[in-house]
Amino acid sequence: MQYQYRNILLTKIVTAALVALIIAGCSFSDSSKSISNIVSSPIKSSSDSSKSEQSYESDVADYTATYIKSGGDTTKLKSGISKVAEKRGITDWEKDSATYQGLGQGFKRAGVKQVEVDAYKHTLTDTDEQASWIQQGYDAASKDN
Amino acid sequence: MLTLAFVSVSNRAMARPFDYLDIEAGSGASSGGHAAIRFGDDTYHFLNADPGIVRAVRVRSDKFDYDYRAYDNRGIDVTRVDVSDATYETLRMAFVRRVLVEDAQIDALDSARRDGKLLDWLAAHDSRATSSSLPTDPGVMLKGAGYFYGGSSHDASTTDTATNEWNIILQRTGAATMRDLREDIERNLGTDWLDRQTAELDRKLHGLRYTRAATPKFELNRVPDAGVEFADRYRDLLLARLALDVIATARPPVPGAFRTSTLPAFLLDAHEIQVMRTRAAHLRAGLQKLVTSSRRDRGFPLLVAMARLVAMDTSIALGRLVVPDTFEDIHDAITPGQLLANENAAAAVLAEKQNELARAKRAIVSATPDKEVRWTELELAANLYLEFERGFVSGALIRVEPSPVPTRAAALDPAWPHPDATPAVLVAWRDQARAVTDDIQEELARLYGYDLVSRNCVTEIFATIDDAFAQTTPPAEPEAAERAALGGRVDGERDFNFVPFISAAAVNQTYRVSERLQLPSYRHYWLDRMLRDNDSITTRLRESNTLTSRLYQRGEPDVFLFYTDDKPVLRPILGATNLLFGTGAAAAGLMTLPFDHGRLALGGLRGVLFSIPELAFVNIRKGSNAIVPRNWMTTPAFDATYTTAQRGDLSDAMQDTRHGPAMDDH
Repeated sequence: MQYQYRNILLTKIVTAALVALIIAGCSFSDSSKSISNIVSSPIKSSSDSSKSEQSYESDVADYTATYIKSGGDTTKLKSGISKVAEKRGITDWEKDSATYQGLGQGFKRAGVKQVEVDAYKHTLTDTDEQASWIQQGYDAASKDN
Repeated sequence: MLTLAFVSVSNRAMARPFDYLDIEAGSGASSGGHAAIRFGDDTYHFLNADPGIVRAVRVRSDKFDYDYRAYDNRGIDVTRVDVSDATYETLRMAFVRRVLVEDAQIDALDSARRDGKLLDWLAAHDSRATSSSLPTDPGVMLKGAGYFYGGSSHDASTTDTATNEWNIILQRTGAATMRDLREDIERNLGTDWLDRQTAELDRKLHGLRYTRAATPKFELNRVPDAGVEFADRYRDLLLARLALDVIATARPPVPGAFRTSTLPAFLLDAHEIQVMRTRAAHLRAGLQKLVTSSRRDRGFPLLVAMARLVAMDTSIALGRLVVPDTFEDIHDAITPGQLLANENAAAAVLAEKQNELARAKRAIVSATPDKEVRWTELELAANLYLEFERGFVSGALIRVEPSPVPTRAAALDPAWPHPDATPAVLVAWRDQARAVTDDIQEELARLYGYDLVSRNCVTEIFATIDDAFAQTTPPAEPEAAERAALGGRVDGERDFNFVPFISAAAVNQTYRVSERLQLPSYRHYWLDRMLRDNDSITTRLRESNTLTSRLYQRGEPDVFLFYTDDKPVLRPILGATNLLFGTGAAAAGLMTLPFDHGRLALGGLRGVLFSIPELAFVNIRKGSNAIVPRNWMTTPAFDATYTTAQRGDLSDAMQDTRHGPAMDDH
């Protein structure tokens, strides 16, 4: 045992029974519905624009990797991206390079092969520029690995 | 004692720490305490949510601290665990996966519920039921349409907007903006493009059919197959149809859906107006691409972009900032009375929002026009500032659910295109949708049903950690891998580990812990600073009770006299006093029942309830705050006399707001 907490533990276990009697369990989801939502703001503005860009890109990559690995229907991937983007304050995500770079990173992390990435480019993009952004993200993640 | 490092163990082989958080009990929603796990800027925790499940939630770490430490006044004990980069990422992705998969499964439930409600609504309207028996909720929120189509409940908050000069400019400018957009589209895509697209959308809307999918079988770690999504497809098609109709008919914007103010913070100088022109031109060009996008849900971003274009063009015409109203329903609103009872804190929050707006204005000037998020930040900052300013100065309700992007919704109009189906068919579809809803609820209960002991906010953290290793190592070895990576394994269901503070001790005993920290609550943070400036018996006595404390905020739902969280030895005596105090308040509350709707009586009863554990040395109540600035660790909002310099700033901010030409044009 790294820390000697036995004495504290004994006291706390005795009181745990008392606590358990009045435990309401963990936090309820509606506990956050309060003035704190408006004071603390739904999105965090950052003086460093590249940081918020990276956070969004990272969200898209996390989502894409999880979605692909868990066998999600790729035709529905776009609607999931819409939700990820909206939480970051973005609605027209098709013109944001971070979206497609995040997709490319997510593909790499999910172990998608280049030939499959090429197929995704056809189904997920409307322009050559968007396809090139996916490739950039995929290549960047390959270097990181 | 701002941050206590109990022990620090250096382990150079380890690279990145994650934090296990044990949040003190509070008299609000979690009297047994709470637990969470933190990976840098993101904190993951599990909430008891509809429909009776534990729901995985990801929150910004700064927001989590604000909610629990500042607003709820609860301290957090942090146990820091050092792990390798690879283990850190394995764990982080396990929590990401848990949130995303569960969100998708709950989305499926919400989608099925929407199907049932919409079909019920359509059936009732098609059968021409009497208006009193018509369902009021069609299940479908037409997000973004509320900027051009009326009927939203938000209009209740507006005042005589038609007579406002700026609203006349807004409507004229908006209609002109849409005419320009229509001309651009006709020039680029052809004069009949809008008509053809509209006809195609109408055909799809009329031809929409509900087909019941197979009963879903949810799995942990697997995004569910897409459900029926009848209502969602209807919403997406209808929003696209409405967006095109706004352009085709040059429909003017709804006056109460946009906001501006004559406050100095909203004035635009020549350079800012030029920036606005550049951004509007960029947005207009982007709209040309968005109308032809293959996105199924393109109607919503189209309506948002059009609302923003109208706001920008009107800003240029007026020379002051105009933004779409980004708040959701008026039902999620509070009266400003209890906030204004804490005048210094209210003034500090208002000053903070004013500063955030000024910062967002500066940021938009330096940002390239393709960065939508910069505009979102400006829009949000303007809305937050106006909401507080309007509430504090005129006493209007303060809405507390701002949306990150403009989502003002329009009510569904029965005259709009809808599926061609008889009322009997619609009713049959509705019944199928309700059956799907029941099936999904059962699946969610099976996977995530809340249980005080076996599936709660603690047990799910350790289950997710177990799962992280189960997903990444051979089936026979996950536990060995977990022990090697973390130093051991904690079983969330064993002994009393389901209780947050006991689980923290288990983490401390089991994992490779490098550090333990105590993050103080708002009250303890500022009390410590007060005592550092003047550690006297007077200060200690003054801050020990709610009658004389400077830190106490009026508006607290519990009625009590003494803080007992920092006085373990005296707790039973102080608790007995609190019990009497609460009983007295409850009795007095019976007299004031007709005037305060039972607020004092209820507060007294809560005071009694949370005093009882104190008799047995157990503290739950911390005394939550009614309003605290976002930057609560740097802004002494409780007391204008605490910091002279701060007092000057805050008073100036209030002066500017209360006596300036404060017309909130909403």
